[in-house]
Amino acid sequence: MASVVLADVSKRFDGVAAVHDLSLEVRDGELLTLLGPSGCGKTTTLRMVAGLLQPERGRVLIGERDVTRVAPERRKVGMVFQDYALFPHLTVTENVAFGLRERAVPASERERRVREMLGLVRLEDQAAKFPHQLSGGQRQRVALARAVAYPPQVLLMDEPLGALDLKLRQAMQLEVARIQRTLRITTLYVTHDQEEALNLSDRIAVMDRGRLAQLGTGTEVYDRPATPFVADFLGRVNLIRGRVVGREGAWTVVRAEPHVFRIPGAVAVEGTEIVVGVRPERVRLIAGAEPAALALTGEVERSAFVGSLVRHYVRCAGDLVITAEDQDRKAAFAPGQRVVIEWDLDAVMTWSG
Amino acid sequence: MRLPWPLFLLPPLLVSLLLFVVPQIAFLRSSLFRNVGYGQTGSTLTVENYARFFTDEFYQAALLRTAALSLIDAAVCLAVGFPIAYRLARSRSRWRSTWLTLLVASSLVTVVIKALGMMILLSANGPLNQAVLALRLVREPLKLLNNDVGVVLGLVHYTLPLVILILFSVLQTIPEDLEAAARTLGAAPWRAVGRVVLPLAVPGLVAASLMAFNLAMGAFTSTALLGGGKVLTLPVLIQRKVVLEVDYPFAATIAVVLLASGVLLNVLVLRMALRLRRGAPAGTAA
Amino acid sequence: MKLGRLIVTFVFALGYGFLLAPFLVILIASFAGGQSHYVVFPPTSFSVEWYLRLPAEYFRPALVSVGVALGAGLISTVLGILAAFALVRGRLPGRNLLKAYFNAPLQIPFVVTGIVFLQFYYLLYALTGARLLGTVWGLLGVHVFITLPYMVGAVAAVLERFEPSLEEAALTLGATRWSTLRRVTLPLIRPGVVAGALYAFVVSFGDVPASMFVVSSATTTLPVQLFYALEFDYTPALLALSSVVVALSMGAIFAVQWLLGVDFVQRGRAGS
Repeated sequence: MASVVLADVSKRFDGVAAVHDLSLEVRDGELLTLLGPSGCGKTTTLRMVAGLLQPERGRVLIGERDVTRVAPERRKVGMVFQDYALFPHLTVTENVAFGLRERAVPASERERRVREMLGLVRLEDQAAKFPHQLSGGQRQRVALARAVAYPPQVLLMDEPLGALDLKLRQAMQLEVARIQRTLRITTLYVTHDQEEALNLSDRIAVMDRGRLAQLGTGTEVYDRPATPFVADFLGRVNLIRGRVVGREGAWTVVRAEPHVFRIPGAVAVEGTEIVVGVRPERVRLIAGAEPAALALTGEVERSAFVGSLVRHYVRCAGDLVITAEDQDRKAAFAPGQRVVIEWDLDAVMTWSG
Repeated sequence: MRLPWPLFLLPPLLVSLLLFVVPQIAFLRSSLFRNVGYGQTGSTLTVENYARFFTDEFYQAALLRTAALSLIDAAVCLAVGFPIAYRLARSRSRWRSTWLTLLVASSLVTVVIKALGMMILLSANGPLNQAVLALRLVREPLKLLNNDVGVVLGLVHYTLPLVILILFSVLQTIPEDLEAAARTLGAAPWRAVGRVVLPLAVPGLVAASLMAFNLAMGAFTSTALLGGGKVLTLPVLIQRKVVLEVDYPFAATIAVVLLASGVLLNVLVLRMALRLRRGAPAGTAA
Repeated sequence: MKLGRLIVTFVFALGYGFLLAPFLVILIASFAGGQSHYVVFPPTSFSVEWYLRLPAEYFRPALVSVGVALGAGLISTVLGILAAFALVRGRLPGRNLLKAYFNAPLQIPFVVTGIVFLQFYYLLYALTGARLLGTVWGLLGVHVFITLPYMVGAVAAVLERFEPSLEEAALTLGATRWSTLRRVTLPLIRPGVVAGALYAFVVSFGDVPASMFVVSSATTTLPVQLFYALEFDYTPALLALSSVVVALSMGAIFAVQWLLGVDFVQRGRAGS
């Protein structure tokens, strides 16, 4: 086992930066997820760790060893590709044995290892089949077994569940987590699915346009997002851009035309542009109350039942729409009803804008 | 969308029946009659033309030579064409389509002009010989014209662009990630090509080599010009039988043997290829 | 790894060099001055005199070649589109057999085709008195025969990759079946048609062995005339003439690729 270190790594495609000065450490045995929208550089990063792409600048280390200029076949990595990249002309067994043969593992050992791996992913009975005879989930598991068969120092997974439907994806998340814990293998996992990232990861690295936006555990990243982008990408958030216009005791007064409202704490000096964020589940709507000074008000535009909760969309003056989620599903509002918007004091997040 | 599609087939089918089936049958049938001179044929069915072909060593040698030259052509085209097609298929250069069009363009210029260029290129005092003499690789100019070497070079020039184009379109359907996967599993680049790309390209390799072989078996113009009348392949003999000896039945006989041996070899190769084929065809790796 | 790349690059250069060298030497040699009746390479003097004295006896064959290639290209285009639609859309029994049948002319050596037509035209004359041998019409018949497979193949290839939902969309927008064909389907298959027609034209224009038996001295084609000239009476003017033909052929193909964006190479549905 080994850690992976990326030190000031940059990669450009046709002059456009895909990854910019990225530094990151995947600790020994942990599962770290690179999370971000498409085009944020997460797959590029993964491929640089695999050696399939060369960084222009910076270094890649796997277990203390500088592998920046080392060919992929000498890196001792295992990789699961987005479309699995199973060899269509080889059986399941031959696919899993591919890396063992390339590394000249003796036949008997090879056989034992393949059987062990197929057992791990519960595909013993599919050993003689060709990839095109398998279901999507089975192919995914073959790809995983193949990647870890010759025990690699690092497992790289590129949107491995992206091609599966929702139910299967959720089942496979558990499966991946189980196998990763069983092998205790250092894993770098790429996904754009925040739920998948939260479900699987020891830590999450959120990427935004080629840069590392935040690195932390799921709770850290969700509760204390470093930027409005992270807050918006992990879960839902109401974002309000405004300017600090004054103080009122322990509160800071923010103006976001045409609204003036207050948030707790001394956030920034007067005149600073800021972004205020509140998660929908921390927003409460009060009907029939007289609005206090410096409170937001609006009209309920629509309420949507989405299974475990009810989501209310409140239109405020000046094109501002605030989303509130009610998990008790008790309060009911008529469309057009005026409400006062409140939130928990500790729910307010602010960033300089 | 439903339109009377089958009716569409009528005009082309009628034209091709008239131009294809009727004349071919008349021609092939003529191989079963005796030549009585002056372009006339006898009136009784006989297989003596075939007997003559297969008892005369001259014709057997011509058949063997035609097949051997065609096999060499196919082998050279695969050996040279595969790396070129691979490079093109994996290229991300914006010049790629220009390189490809260059292949199409060079393959479509009339063979006569290509042969003229080859004659200049390969002649005893041509640029190629000047180059090897200047580099002191040889003492005497190489003899590259009016012999088998010239004919094979002409055939390669004729079939190589088409072989590259076929291999390119097949290699392009093999996802690059398969090679990347092989690399992360410990395979050096050439091992990745050998264990993954090559097996998946087998249908393309078979198709391309058969096409090269078939075209070479039937090649007339470049063989006649670069062989200088000294390399007698079956197509050249067919033309001679008609033009010099006005012996249609025997020309038809040679044509039948040429076609039949081509078909035979194609069937054999395809059967072998089918036996080799495993798993899913390339491009279905999903 | 570096060695492998080096070898591939070497083969690439070698292959392209070999393919293009004949055209280059013709072009270079065509600018040689002097009257010599053999090729001097590299030329010792530069002159364009051979371009100014393109041999007059090639004008008529050139005209015949262009005319027949246009005619055969046009006929094959119409027939080829019809056949391709029927083959791809028709759900005909024995569809693969029919496809192979339409492709069959390319499996027959063109020398054989030439002689077959020679005999066929003799036979036709004997039976009906219709004279085709040595006429442009006879030549046209041969050329339709050898170009039709290219056309069928090119159009069928495009049709097979055609997205049926596009036609369905047109139908839901109120178009009739015929106007859908005219306004949606035909414009979309145009690249295949253009590529096929160009192939047909160039194959017809360049043919020697299929044509040489059915032409007379009055209807001989440019390549056939050149073929006999190379066998019997070579003159340096042929180099200038050939250069012009090469330039026009290659120019036409690149022009079609750049102006119309026609891709001559079938693209696979590649993965990633």
